[in-house]
Amino acid sequence: MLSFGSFKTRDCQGLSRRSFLKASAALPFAAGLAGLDPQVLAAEAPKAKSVMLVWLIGGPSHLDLFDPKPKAPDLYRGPFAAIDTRTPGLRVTELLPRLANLSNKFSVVRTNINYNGGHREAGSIGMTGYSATDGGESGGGGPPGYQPHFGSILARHRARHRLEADSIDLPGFISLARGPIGDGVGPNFGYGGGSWGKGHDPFMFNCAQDGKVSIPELKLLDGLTKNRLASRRDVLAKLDALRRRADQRDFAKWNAVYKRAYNLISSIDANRVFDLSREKPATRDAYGHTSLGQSALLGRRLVEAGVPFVQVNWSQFVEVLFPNRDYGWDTHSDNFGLMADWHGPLLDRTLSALLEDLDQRGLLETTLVCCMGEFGRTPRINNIGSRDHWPHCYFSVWAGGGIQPGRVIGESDPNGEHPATDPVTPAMVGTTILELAGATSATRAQLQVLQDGGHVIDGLV
Amino acid sequence: MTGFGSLRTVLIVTGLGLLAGAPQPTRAAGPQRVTRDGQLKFSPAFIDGGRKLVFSAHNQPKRVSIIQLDLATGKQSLYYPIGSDSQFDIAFSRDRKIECFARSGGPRQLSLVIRNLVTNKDVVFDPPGAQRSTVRTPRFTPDGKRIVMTMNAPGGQQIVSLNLQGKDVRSLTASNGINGWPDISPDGKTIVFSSSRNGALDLWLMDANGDNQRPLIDSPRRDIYPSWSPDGRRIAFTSARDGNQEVYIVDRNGGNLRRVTEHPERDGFPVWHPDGRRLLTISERRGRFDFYLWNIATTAADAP
Repeated sequence: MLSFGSFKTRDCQGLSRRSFLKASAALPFAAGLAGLDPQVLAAEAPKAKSVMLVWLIGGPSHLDLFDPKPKAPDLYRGPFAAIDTRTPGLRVTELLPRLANLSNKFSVVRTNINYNGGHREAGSIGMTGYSATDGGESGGGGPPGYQPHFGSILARHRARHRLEADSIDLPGFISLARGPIGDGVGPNFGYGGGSWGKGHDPFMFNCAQDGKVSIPELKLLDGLTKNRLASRRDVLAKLDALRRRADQRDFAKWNAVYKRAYNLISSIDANRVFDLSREKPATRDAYGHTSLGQSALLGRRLVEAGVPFVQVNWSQFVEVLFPNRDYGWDTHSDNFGLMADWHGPLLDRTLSALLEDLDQRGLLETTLVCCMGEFGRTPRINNIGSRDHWPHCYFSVWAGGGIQPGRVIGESDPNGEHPATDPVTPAMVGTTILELAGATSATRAQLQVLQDGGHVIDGLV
Repeated sequence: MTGFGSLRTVLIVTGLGLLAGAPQPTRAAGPQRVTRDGQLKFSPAFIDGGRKLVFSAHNQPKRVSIIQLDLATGKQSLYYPIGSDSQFDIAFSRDRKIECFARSGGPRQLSLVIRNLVTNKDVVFDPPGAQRSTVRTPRFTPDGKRIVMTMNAPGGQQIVSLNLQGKDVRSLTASNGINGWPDISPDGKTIVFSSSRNGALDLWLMDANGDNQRPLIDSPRRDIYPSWSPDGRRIAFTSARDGNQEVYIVDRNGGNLRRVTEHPERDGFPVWHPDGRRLLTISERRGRFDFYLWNIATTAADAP
């Protein structure tokens, strides 16, 4: 079920398909589409038609999940036992029994590295492959120095070189969260279009634990009913009123939001995608009736509908003990209690369900799934019995879309502090994702993104 | 999808589980499902002779609240209607004159609030150390004079006790690793808790003053959330010893281990009904978290 502000609908019956097509032709999703003549690539389809990035904001502890160190000193190892998996050489902690049993479907990188220990900066680097080149922090919310998110790059590429399977109704880059992801200070700068502008930001949906889907950005337009939203005249009147109250920048933002929302609400197909009640109950159950679980299921439906890049965020909308904060996996406090009760088991259930579901639908082969955060957590337990930020060594999980499953890439040192072999940079992560999704080195050069230092992760494809 | 029914079988094949030595279930009949909201919930406690249940739940997207459930009517209400912070892990003194709970919000992430219902005054205990300190699972001693709980410590967590003014903090454990989830025997003489001092999280016992620490039961995987039965003879707890998280009961001498739950999804947070014949769990079924009340078999070992 899709919710627009205070209005909910199962599908759109107010507009004909013909009128929708008129609307969508007039109001393209991405600014990058305007004036371009999309080419449909019938041949040489990439290995990954779609990408699902499961983003664990806050920094999940690698030692407590995918890189246990049972022989490390007490101050490092943590209390969770290491268990075998189906992958030779890979052990995970006891918090991940389902994923341990499914490890033949995915590969693990144990030696990711980042260059910053702050959430906003590391998250931006992790999702763009780059550090800021100028003034990103001081722009008052503007991110002029940040490169575009991997999803923005892929969406722009696919807007110009559309695959047959790509949706024409839906945005090319969708992020599932209650709002822009970040920390208590503010959102990550690298969450969207960056220096390319807001037109390349992801379209954001929120999926609640009961499966209700809403568009957070439309809250400003609360009060619009379905009929009024479908009436361009009424909406423009509303926007005119907004223009008088807000500055020009805000107006432009919400006008763009309206245009994109207008396309979605006009699309019967799109509304079906967002209606999780169309799924078999057993499927919804398997993902778990949590915000994370139902968001991952929605992500699969979006991939099925042909969205090139979907980011599922473990963010403020997921279960936290700390109010009004976007801590996610930022377990400075009570790391081991939270990991045992919630974070470990919820990730185990949802990620394993996602991989199984994609596999059984025949989608895993063409869907690249990458699960990671912006960094790991301190291998050495801190002075308050928890773990802090650690960008020097962490994990990522990879499956489908050209990834060789059942492999483990890289080895960390005995205490999990630094890579002993095969350090994997954010640029390598982005290069691997984009290469598999068809945005080749030539494309990246044309778009002037990810040209320095990045190459496909050895042994993963 | 294959669902979760096949997981246990696969675990046997791959050697991931320890089913061969797992004890048989002790329950006589299926459980009674107490709630149907499916919300993430934790830290339940019975009050009013078992007529009401108080627990913590993720009832709002960004907030954890303490909820009171009337078991006769099924009506749920906020236990503390006022407040914008997250509240959880509530405990009650035996005479119900004092309550305490963990609170997160504001500049401190986790504090202990000791609420005197007679004087209508709160004492807030902020653990020493950084702002992100940890206070979890408080329990009143039977005489109502002190609180035993988990608190952060350098390099791990320890179990401490403190008085009702939030003073006179005494460390009951001082080992390496994580020590937590304490519960006090009904006679007040013994504390059961979980400790990773030897590697995995195992159950331990100690005298109320921290002396005589000795292992109760262990396994290669985590044993946590011990809960002492009202008669003091048995301890229910959560264990992942079979590869999945289930609820078990063990006698206070470490013998007669038996499994209460057996399901491919998670079972946990056991607490005894005051009648000593029933055990409450929070069990994940079809991806939802609800309370279930289990009749414990009236074998000689389990009769109250």
